[in-house]
This record gives sequence, structure tokens and C-alpha cells, in this order.
Amino acid sequence: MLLEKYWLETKYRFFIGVLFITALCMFFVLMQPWILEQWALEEKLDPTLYNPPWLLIARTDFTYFIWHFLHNNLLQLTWAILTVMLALGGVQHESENGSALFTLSLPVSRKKIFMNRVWVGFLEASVLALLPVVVIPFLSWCIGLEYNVITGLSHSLLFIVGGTVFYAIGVLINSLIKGETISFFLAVSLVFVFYFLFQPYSDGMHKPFLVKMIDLPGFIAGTSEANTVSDPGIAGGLSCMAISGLLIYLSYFITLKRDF
Amino acid sequence: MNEFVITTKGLTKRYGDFCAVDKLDLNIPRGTICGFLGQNGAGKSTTIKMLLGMVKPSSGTGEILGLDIGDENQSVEIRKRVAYVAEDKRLYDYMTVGQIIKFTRPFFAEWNYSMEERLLDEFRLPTSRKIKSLSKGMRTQLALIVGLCRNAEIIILDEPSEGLDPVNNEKLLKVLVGLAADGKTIFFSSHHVFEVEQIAEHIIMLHNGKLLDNRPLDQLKANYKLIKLLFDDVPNLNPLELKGVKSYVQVDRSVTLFTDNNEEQIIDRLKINNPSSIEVINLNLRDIFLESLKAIENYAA
Repeated sequence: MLLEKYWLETKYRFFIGVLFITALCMFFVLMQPWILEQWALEEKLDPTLYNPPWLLIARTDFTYFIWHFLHNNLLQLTWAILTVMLALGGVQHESENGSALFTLSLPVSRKKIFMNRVWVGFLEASVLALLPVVVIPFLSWCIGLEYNVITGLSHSLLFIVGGTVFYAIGVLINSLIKGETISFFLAVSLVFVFYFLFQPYSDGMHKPFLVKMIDLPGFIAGTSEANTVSDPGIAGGLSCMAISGLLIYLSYFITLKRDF
Repeated sequence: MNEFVITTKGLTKRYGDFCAVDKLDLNIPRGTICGFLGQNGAGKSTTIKMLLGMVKPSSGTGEILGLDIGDENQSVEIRKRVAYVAEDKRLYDYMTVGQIIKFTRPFFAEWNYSMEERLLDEFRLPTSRKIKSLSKGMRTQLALIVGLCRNAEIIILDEPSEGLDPVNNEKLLKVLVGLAADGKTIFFSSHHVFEVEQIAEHIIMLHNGKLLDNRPLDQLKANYKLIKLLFDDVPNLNPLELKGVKSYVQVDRSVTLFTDNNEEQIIDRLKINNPSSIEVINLNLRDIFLESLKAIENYAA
């Protein structure tokens, strides 16, 4: 019952996410031949034009092309924003809408109310992360290219494991701040801060140790093949899950202690 | 012997320096309709929320049906057996009337389907309409349906008639009387003192978080009186010295006393001053409430 309630609350956000992610994947997969043509044309017009290393690989390696533009870039950022959007809501925000007392009058513990809300959002974020696993290989096949489903799945798993931290940050902000709009802008701003900070390192630049330690976008992106265990690493995954668990527990504790 | 279904001992809620509810001791007998009176900010809603686990008490204890209000697990059990309609009647805007009823039903094993049908019919609520498009009165009606149909042992209502027109208000009062006749305990707060007087058997009054009064309505009416005395000359009195006098107003030769109990002895004592006339006025609940507040304010001044 509660799961259905939370699904009804978030379904529009989820469908917006489906649209955005599908549109992004469609653009970069279907437009790949055209983008390559444009690069070739630019090079023809100006042979002295500097080609960054990633471009040289992206020209010949479709998997790398997809990774560079989607998993390491726009898809990841879009998904992170959608994830914090899905984290918003719950009984804290119901008090703003006036329905919190009705929810709390039901014979359900606050723990169950909180966890149901967290699970629904997490499942929706996971489905959004898994969507490219189907969309990218299918669209690639449509234009005569090949994209490995396992590679896509590995990237989606990295999204889910690493991105849980963004989701947990969203849940925490949501628990701390009453206004949904303020929570949303704060959470999205935090996501942008992360991506702004790590942008200079996205082209394979050497990362200092401290940056590596907190490079969540880098962890989520993994490598283009996403087939290594050491990099991004199991330790990184476990750390992400531990941090997420801690943030979620803190949010639960705040919800438990709050007066409505 | 009366069995108390709601009891509190020293129940207190502080928000920083502000004390919303101050050492409240309540005993509400089973099967009664209990009216909860107080001005805005008196602490009525905070008390109700503490009883249902929505607000954590700063100190003190409370029990509903023998279950501890401070224990999270027992609080869930309390909410299985207590129906609550909040002061804020807003529900889930994205659901329809039918959807929210369907959503609420499974939480309560004893859901009263016949009452659901009856109230939907009486209030003429369209089940397919979205909650966000309902008027304030209709939202109140819907909140009452999803509250009252829970078939709970205790029904706690915070300003239940807010937004209702007189016809629907009358219907609500009848439903509440009917539920009490079936053995349910009804505890409701209201600003409409007349409707409280119409159906309540027991009254609790709160002022600035403190308990002002807690007794059966009959007893309240029998005890509280207004005594009007007229003297030939301006008298020199200090009626507050007399036991039972809560407040008094003297305008020239006329003295009006607000008394609680001890009415006969007060009159006997004042007869020494040879009043030319003595009139004892019975009070309705509204007057008792207002005079009690005045007495408190005078005392504080």
C-alpha cells in the first residue's frame, strides 16, 4: 500500500527520467555517424586542428565514443540529477503539503514509512540506470553498430553502486530541510559542485590521491570497457555503499526524532 | 467504576523556552464524548499529537488503552485502535476520493464498510474526483470518512467540523453520538463551544498549555455560577477571599461574581453586606469557558 502511494507520488519524475535518458541515448547513438562526419569535415577544413587524445579513440572505437559522451559525461550527470530528484518527498515534505498527519495516523512505524519511501526511489533510480542497457545496444543495432550488453550492464551497476551516494545525499537533504524546492536546488547544486570539481580530470588527466579518494563521478564512469575489477575497484564500491548506508541511517534517525 | 482509556501524567512539551503543554494530567473515561476546549495555541493539537506519537513529549507519560504513547512499537498498536482526524484535513492531492479510501482500508482490519457507504452517500462525495479539486468542506468530509470508518475504539478529532456547513455539521454530530452509543470513546477539540455542549459529556479545558478544568459537563454546569448582587451603597468587598470565587467585577453598586462551587456559602457570607438583590445565573458552556479564561487573566494581572 505504502509502496503504491510512493510510486504514485514519484511516477511523473520517473517518467520524465525515462524520457530524458532515452532521448540522450538516442541522440548520441543515432547521431554518432553524423558526429564522426562533422569531425572529419572539420579536420579537412583545418588540418592543423588539435585533436585531443579521447577524440582519436572515439573516432574508431564506438564503445569508447558512447562511454565518453554518455557514461562519463551527460548520461551520468543527468542520472545523478534524476536520482536526487527521486530522493525528494516522503513524510517530511508531506508536512509541507498538509498530509503528513494523515500518513502518521496510519498504524505503520516511521521506520516502515521511511524505508518504503527510500526503496521506491532507489528502485526507480536503478531502473533509470538500467534503461541504457536496453536502449543503447538496441539503437546501435538499428544503425548497424554493435554495443556489448555486458559492458552496458557493468556501467549501469557502477551507476547504481556509486550513484547511491548521490541518492543518499538527496535523502539526507530531504530529511534536514522542509521545503521541497529548497531541498531540490540544494541537492542539485551539490551534484553540480561534484561534476564541476572533477571536470578537469575527466579526460584522463592524472588525479592526485585526494581527488581519487572522493572522485565519485570518476568511480561511476569506470573505464570505457567497464570490465576491470581493480579500477574503479571493489573497495570503492564498498566505500560508496557504506557511505550511502550511513547517510540513509542518519536520515532515518532525523525522521524518527522529528516532531510533526 | 470508570475505566480510563486515555491517561496522562505530567505530560509536557517544550519548544526551547516555550512550553506548549505544561504537566498535563488527563483521565478520559471509556465510552464518553469528551470535548477539548482551548484558545488557539492552548496546546490542544500538541497534546493530541503527543498521544498519537507524532510529537515526542519533553517529559511526562501517557497511556492509551494501556499502551505507552512514548514507545514506537506500542504507538503503532495505538494507531490501530485509535482513529484520528487531524486539524489539517489535507490528504494526498494526487489521489481521487475513491483511491484514498481504497488506500486506507487495508490498514484497518475492522474497516466499517457500511459506514463508508453511508457517509459517502450523506456527504455526496464523488469518488472519482481528485482530492486537489475538492472544496475545503469536502476535504473535511473525506478526512472524516477515512477517519471514522476505521471502526476504532477511540476516535480523536481535531476541529472536526472545520469547513462544514451547518447541515453537514449536524450530520457529523449525529454520527458521533451514534458512535458513542456503540461504546466508542470520542475525544474532540473544537472552537465551536455550542457544538461541544450539544454532544459532549465530559469537558477538558486548556489554557496556555495548562489544564484549566477536567470534569463532566453536568458537574461543570452545576458548579459554575454567576452571582449578581446589587447594593444600596457602593460596597467595600474583597470577594476573592471567599472560597469558590474565581473572579469578580464591581461597577459602582453592582457586583458580579464568577464562582465555582460553594455558591450557597458565598451568598450567605455576602448577605452580611445587605445586598438589595441577589441573582444567581446558570451558565452555558461558552460562558463558563470565557469566564474561566477571564478569571485566569485577571489573576495573572
